[in-house]
Amino acid sequence: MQTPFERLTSAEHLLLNELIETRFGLSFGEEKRALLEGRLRPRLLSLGLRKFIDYYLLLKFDFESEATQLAHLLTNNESYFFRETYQFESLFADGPELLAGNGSPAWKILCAGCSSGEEAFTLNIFARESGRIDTTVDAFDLDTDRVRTALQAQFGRSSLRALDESAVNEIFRPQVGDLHELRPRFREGTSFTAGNILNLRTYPTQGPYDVLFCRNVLIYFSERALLTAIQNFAEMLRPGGLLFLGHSESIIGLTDLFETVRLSSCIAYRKVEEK
Amino acid sequence: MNEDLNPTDPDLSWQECMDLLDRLPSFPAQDRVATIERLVRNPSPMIRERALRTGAAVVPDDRLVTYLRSDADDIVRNAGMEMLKMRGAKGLPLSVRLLRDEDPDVVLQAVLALGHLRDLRALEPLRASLTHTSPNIVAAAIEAVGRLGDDRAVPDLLPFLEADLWLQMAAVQALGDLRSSRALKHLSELLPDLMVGPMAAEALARVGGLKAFKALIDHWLLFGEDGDTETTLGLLAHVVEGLSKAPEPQPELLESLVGCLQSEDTEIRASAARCLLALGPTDLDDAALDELAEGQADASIVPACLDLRRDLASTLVAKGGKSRAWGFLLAAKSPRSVPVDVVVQALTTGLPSADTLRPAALALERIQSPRIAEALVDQFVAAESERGSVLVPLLATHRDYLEEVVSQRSDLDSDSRLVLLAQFGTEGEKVTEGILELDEDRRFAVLERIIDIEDIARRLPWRDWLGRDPDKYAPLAARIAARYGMADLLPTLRQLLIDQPTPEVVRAMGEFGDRESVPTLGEILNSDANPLIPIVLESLGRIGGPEARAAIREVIFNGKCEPRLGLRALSLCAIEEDDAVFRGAVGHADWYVRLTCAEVLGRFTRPENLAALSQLAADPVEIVSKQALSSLEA
Repeated sequence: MQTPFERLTSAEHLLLNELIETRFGLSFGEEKRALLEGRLRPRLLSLGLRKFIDYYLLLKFDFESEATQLAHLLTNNESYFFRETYQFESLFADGPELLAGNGSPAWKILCAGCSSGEEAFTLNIFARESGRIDTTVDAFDLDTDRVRTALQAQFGRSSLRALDESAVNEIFRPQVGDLHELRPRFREGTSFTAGNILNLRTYPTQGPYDVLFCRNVLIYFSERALLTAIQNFAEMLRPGGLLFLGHSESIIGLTDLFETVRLSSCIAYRKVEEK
Repeated sequence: MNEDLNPTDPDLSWQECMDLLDRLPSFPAQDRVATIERLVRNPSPMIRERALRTGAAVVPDDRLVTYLRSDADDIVRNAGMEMLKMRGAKGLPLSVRLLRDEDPDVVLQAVLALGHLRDLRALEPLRASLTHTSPNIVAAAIEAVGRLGDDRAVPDLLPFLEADLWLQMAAVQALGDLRSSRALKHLSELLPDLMVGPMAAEALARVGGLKAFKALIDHWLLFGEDGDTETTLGLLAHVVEGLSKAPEPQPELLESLVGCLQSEDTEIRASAARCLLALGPTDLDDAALDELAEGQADASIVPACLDLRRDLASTLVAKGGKSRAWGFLLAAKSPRSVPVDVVVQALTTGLPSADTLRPAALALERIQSPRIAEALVDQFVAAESERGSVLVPLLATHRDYLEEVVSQRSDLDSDSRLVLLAQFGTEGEKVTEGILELDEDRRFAVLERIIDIEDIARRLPWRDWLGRDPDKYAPLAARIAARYGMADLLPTLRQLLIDQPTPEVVRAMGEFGDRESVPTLGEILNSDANPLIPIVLESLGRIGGPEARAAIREVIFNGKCEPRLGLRALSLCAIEEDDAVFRGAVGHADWYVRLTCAEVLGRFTRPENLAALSQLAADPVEIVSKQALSSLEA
């Protein structure tokens, strides 16, 4: 009766992609079929499932119990400290003028899809080093394992790849093995939770926010999910608040909730004032 | 879904448009076309794309030609063009016919469609278009001929290298597409040209080979700093990686590449690193490797620039991270390139990352040593039990050495020793006894780690355990019973199905094809909102037979299951008398239901099934139309 594990068929691929897209917004089109198969296969093996349709049926049976595992398998947002900082530089250079209308010098920043926290912590470091010590950075991600890493604030060498030795020593303290722990002063003001960009109820509740970062996440979204995400971002931002996306991501023409605004070295999207 | 949607309503929401598209297969033919003509104007790319795909399948030829002639309406004309392209090979006769059309715009679109099609049958008609009076059509025909990839067309294209700029650019592009060495000399001569030189460089890179490399190098050394460094260097890297033997690098070239390795531009640094590694060995290998690992290259395959660099395998394994994965992959091809010491050192630095695991397993299959077995056991012992399981595939590569290593180790806890012993495949009795001596919690943890070893799984007293603690053991026992066909557990599993059904137990019944469990599965199916219904349906489908079919049909008809899951289950065991169920569902809004219909109706060749399949062959969802066509052909 023992038979080899079977390949992901076209129909199974479409079924699973449909489910993943609906629940997480992530889209694994035909060009990513092999990737999806590779990511899911270890899970099938550990569940003792032979066919991908069985995994689909298991998800239909009880999605919530499997959601964490599935999210961990599907999201692979490798990040590192001080990655593509031109947007941060622009925010802290141009933000005081652009965000002057929020009535408070303390900015509230939200990182959606924060992975293991490198981006959120980098923002926090920028805020502290530019004297905005009252800034808070809330962040969330679908993958609870990565959120746990962010909460522990311990990172391996690959997360520090953009830093030279002196910066590493200033920002981190060495731990056992290859791990480096973020110094407490750079953790202050940050918070991390598990949440789904598509589900507003899972967002942190400290809004409305002045600034929202969601970089290199929406590229994996279907159009339907993208529209939901934009709607949710608009809900979380105060009028005039700024949205920063990855450099290859654009929402121009997709929504009238935001307008583009040019900063010194990047483009951001400003939530339009309510009429 | 709203049945009253009017496709001509200008205020349809995104969701309503999607609903319309879902329902399109059930519309009469003329309504489908009208709906498509409306939806191709929708601002949503996704809705437009789906409308175009459907249009490609259902809009008649004469209607499509009127779209192409719509001078006043760009949207409709572009939609016609897209549909023609999406028709694929089925659109070839119409496109060829349109090459003789009186309207040059229509001819141009036909040429573009044929270029997109890449069907060699289009070569002769396209060659004729190279003499058309409209330069736009000639330029498009040149590029289309290039895309066909038949190098016999080279002589037809060479004269255009001396034509006006527009046609010259098209010819350079096309010659690159043809990848013919016959074009190398002509393309090299164009490199200094300010206008077409960059395109010629790209075309040369696509042709590839030593001559193209030399031409590009000469050009780079003469003009490199003045031109687009990023592009040219990327092309050089691409060409040198494709050579079967790297040429001796000229000192001026190395000097230039060293400069690029210091660039502020990451792309330039990455391309310089690729060139240096492909041309190596050189003193710059180490710096280039660091740069390569820093970039976007994937850990799961050896970058092309390292393909011929077996000499670097050892260095790569020693480096860690992505480099280590590449080193192991090279070592798997050439095991002598990495000394055992280096492997042992790599294994003692911590558990392999997910990226390194598979490459390491491939390499360790070929590099066998008791010292490696010892290092693996060290790691296994040091890791927490759950994390240590990642090492099992690596341990399996050194099964022959493990026994001796384990017997000599006094620091192993009994659970780890059992899991390791289980890997030998010769100690079944000893392992079984050891498992029986463990307390329940530890036993369960060990069982989960050795479930893949059939000999041991079969020796264990599953029936006793199920009797004592069914909650704990049922999922594992059901998996093992189904996997290894342990029919002696069936009576116990049937009782569990009645008392406390779980997904694993339900699935096991399907795997066994156990007809005795059908009544119980039927009861679960008819209980209200039971989350197990999807898995029960699947199992009933796998079991089959009149009772299972009746149970499935009942829930399909009384709406107690999702139609896609019910029809899928029925499809697994359908006989000819079920085909009416599937014929009745060919207009269903769910693509998966229609896909299932297309597959099942192909099994039973009644005339009415053929009619239903013809309808499905024009389905807007590609997988459905393909399945229907395949069923019709069969």
